[in-house]
Amino acid sequence: MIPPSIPANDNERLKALYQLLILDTPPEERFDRIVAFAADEFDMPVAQISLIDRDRQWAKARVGVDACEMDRRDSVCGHLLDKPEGLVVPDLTADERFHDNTALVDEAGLRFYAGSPLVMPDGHVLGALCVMDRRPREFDATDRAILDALRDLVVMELSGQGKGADAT
Amino acid sequence: MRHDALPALLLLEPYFVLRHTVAAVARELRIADIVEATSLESATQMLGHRSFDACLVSVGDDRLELGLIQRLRDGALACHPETPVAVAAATVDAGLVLALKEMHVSRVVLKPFKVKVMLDTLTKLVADRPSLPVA
Repeated sequence: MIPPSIPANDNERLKALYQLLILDTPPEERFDRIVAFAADEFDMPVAQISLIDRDRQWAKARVGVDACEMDRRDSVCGHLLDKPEGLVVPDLTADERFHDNTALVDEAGLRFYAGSPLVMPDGHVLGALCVMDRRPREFDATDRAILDALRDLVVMELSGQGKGADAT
Repeated sequence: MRHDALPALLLLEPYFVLRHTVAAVARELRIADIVEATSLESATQMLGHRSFDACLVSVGDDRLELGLIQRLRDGALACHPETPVAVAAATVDAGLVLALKEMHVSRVVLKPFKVKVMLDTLTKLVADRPSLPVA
């Protein structure tokens, strides 16, 4: 397993994350509906909005997984902090970064991952919107564009420019 | 460098996440420039003031939106009466099918609504466009 690298600006990134006062807050409909929509759109059993804290990944919204946090070293979303283009892993067991990630592959039984980084207006990447499946999958350019568009909605909500509870 | 203008489509869809995502991806993939209408009232206002190359209309359970399509076909709006129209509906029965046929609705999207299916419908709707004279 290759753990995610720590960006050089991680302290500033964490400061931006903490300023949102969102870590460890209860679930909110404005985020839950985006995650539920992503899971339905792609027919994926797992979807979540992950935020990368100093030592952990914490999920603001999630479907298909019980745990709301995991060790940062096990996090696939943590690999997106320096990947503005996003990340698609068709088969986690065939990728040297993740094939022996016990938490993901063995315990959760996950095989497929697609994530779009939460790039805030100030440039800091706080986490990712991701979808996962328990079987290997493909993800085409249209799928990626859809995931990116949903990611943009998450960023709008995080940055206070979203529709909030008013959106239907 | 000059880019060709994208076809202008009206999307009447009340659900924000679906509507916004379809519009954003259609623009990103250069399928169409989508104008979003959140309600029948706003769609009526938009269609009364400007022309569109095609329309995708979500029809609610009360089917009030069919009246708007009929007005378009009657030439009562700013769009050309032969503008291609697709409909998204939760359910379809024989009565609705007949009404859609009579109003020359060219495509129907059924629930569960997926962004990818709607984009595919938009792509076909754009291809359906006849060479229309100015209304």
